[in-house]
Amino acid sequence: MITYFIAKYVDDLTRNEPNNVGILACDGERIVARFDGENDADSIDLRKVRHRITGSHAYRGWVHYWREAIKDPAAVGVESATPADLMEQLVEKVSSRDFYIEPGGSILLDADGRTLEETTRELYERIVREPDPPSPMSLQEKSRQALAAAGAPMEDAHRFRKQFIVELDVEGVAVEHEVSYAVMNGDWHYLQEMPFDPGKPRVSRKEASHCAFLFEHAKWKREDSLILYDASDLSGHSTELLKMLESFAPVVDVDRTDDAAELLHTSLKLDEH
Amino acid sequence: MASIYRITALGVAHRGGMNAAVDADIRGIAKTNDESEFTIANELICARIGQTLGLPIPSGVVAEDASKRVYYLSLDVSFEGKALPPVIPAEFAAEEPWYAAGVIVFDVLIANGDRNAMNLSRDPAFTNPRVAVFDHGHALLGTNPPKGLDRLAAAKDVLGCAIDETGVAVNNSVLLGQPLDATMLEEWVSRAKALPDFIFEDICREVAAMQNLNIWTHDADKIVQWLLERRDKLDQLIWDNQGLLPNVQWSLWGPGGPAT
Repeated sequence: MITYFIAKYVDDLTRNEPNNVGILACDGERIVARFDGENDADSIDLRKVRHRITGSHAYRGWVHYWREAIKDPAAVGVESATPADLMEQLVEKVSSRDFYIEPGGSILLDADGRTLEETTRELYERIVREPDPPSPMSLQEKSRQALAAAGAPMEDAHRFRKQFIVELDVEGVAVEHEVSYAVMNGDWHYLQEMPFDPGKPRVSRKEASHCAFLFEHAKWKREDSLILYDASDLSGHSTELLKMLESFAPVVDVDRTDDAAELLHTSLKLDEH
Repeated sequence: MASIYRITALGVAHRGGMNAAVDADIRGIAKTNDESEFTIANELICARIGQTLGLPIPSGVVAEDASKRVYYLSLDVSFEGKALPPVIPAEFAAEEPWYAAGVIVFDVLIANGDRNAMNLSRDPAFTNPRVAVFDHGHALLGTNPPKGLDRLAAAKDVLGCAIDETGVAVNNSVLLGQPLDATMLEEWVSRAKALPDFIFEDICREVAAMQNLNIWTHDADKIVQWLLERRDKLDQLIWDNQGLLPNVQWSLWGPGGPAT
């Protein structure tokens, strides 16, 4: 039988509306716990909980206390206790109105024969918080995915460079500048990421100007350079900017990985070397 | 370290004066004498002594509601206004050795029979985590039998913060078994022994002068007398009971104990 407990947090004591912030499950021999905002190392990432828990430092302190109690009951003054004794102590004697643990229920028979860890994770996702959806891929991640799919020699430090420094010629003055990637395949090929910001036209304009400056003063040939962008970031204002950039170099939409890979494969002449 | 209290409401209308003062509210934790007639007196006297000694004890005031019910209002020192977890005694002694030693000496001085892990806090929301030492309602005159002057008599030769046959303590102090620095303990004892008589006299007489706190002037004089004797023999008392502090290396005092 697995008995589980719910860690709760009350943000406003007057309103007294508890939020579930953790699960502690006990099979009689062990206690397994999972708390909101914890990373894989069982430590709280305050950035994850700050918007949900006003007293995030106090919360982190409580989670630390509960974890230490599970690890070593004697450290919190519970001598020679069974896991059930410890849970009783944590429920009845160690509590505040802001943070506390209360009994959740029991699982008498698990037909699927899950482990205590699996049961805890499942209870956590059902009672506390569903797992966060994966964050959308960044332009950089999409670019690298497309380059990998194109067969670019990304593991070869001699032929593939990130944040590669190039020399620009600005009205006769040599200026060093950084380009996102440089790929050696017979000749150097230069690829610059262009991050459009759909919500901030000013940022998109600034980035496009930066990109245009680079390409206008670069010493490379047009056919040796590419601009990588993510079409899912385009909005009304940025379409014109993209058109402007196309006059400097071919543009590649890395949001469509297969098409981008094919284009990159051809442009970087990856078949030839 | 001076405590910082969180303002929960701030007025805008000036109350006059050159400093443009305004009305402000701060949060406190209130307790009454409902459970024991000496709770508020114990809190007031112990807070004054502990603060004078140099411990971070939140300031407290006596307040009453519209029905004249009396409260001891300990001001809330937590940065976020949330209850902090109990300390983990070994961590507290390791991270705050100075205060751990001070709390032991203070608890002996006031015969605090309830130093559990929830009566200490270490607030991590401050850049340098801030310690608070609170809840002294079970010290001095106590709450359960023996209580009042009987408790003071019973605690005369014992630490008062460990369970023994006198029944003075309700639990063992969580700090007694921790590794403590003997030098720091001696420094705190020196501080306590240097406290002037008037610190004890003033607060006990102030409490006796307040209505509804159940301390009368002739009792206050006896409490003062007990505290002064306690202060003077503090080092000897700790030395005589060193078995209750098993993890202290007593390097400074000779085998005969302190030279008193």
